[in-house]
Amino acid sequence: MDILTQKTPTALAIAQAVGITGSVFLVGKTLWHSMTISIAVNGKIYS
Amino acid sequence: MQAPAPLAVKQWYTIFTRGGAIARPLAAISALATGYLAYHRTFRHMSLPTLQPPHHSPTIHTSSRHTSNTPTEDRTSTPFRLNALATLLLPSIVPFTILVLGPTNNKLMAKKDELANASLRDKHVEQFAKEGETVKELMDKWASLNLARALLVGVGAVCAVAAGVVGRREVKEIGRFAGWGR
Repeated sequence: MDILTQKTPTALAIAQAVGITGSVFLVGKTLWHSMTISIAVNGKIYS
Repeated sequence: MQAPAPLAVKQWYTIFTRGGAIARPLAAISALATGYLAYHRTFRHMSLPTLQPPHHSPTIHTSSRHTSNTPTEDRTSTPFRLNALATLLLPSIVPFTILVLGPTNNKLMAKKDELANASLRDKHVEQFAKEGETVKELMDKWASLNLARALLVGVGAVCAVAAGVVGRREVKEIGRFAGWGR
């Protein structure tokens, strides 16, 4: 079977999308919380 | 600090509880996904064809003959390693929160309870607080530690993205090398 013409299995594609989207969202959310708290405390991102 | 201490600590509490409610399941789901990908590349991945340079190989053993669900030697592949690293790093925010952020969280929770009935206009509400244990100082420390937590998941996310990119590139390069898709 030609591996190039073989479509990526749906489960793998979903897992990849979930892994990437979830982890990137998690980074953004965590950074956002740090910035929010830092702005609340210092009036700017970091003093 | 612009917000009075009793209000600021309530705001921190809201961010902390809502953030935790989202972060834990999200970290678990992402780690399960990258773990599944790593597992698949080790145990379910179709054996890649035996490659030889095109001028030496009139016949290329395509994967159809070698397809199997038995373990392959794919544990050394970059996508496997990246996915495995992401699987370890993404849920590591839970022990990190308990072990590293825990003491600061506990102090801020105690402050929230202590200042629950304090007046927002009372500027001396923390005049007896110990050095380094005012709401402002604790929240500042929490923000810095939370940044370290962001670094953990950041590396995990980079690994997850890189595994996807490298995995696709590997497949394309193998295909080009073998002269497929012509």
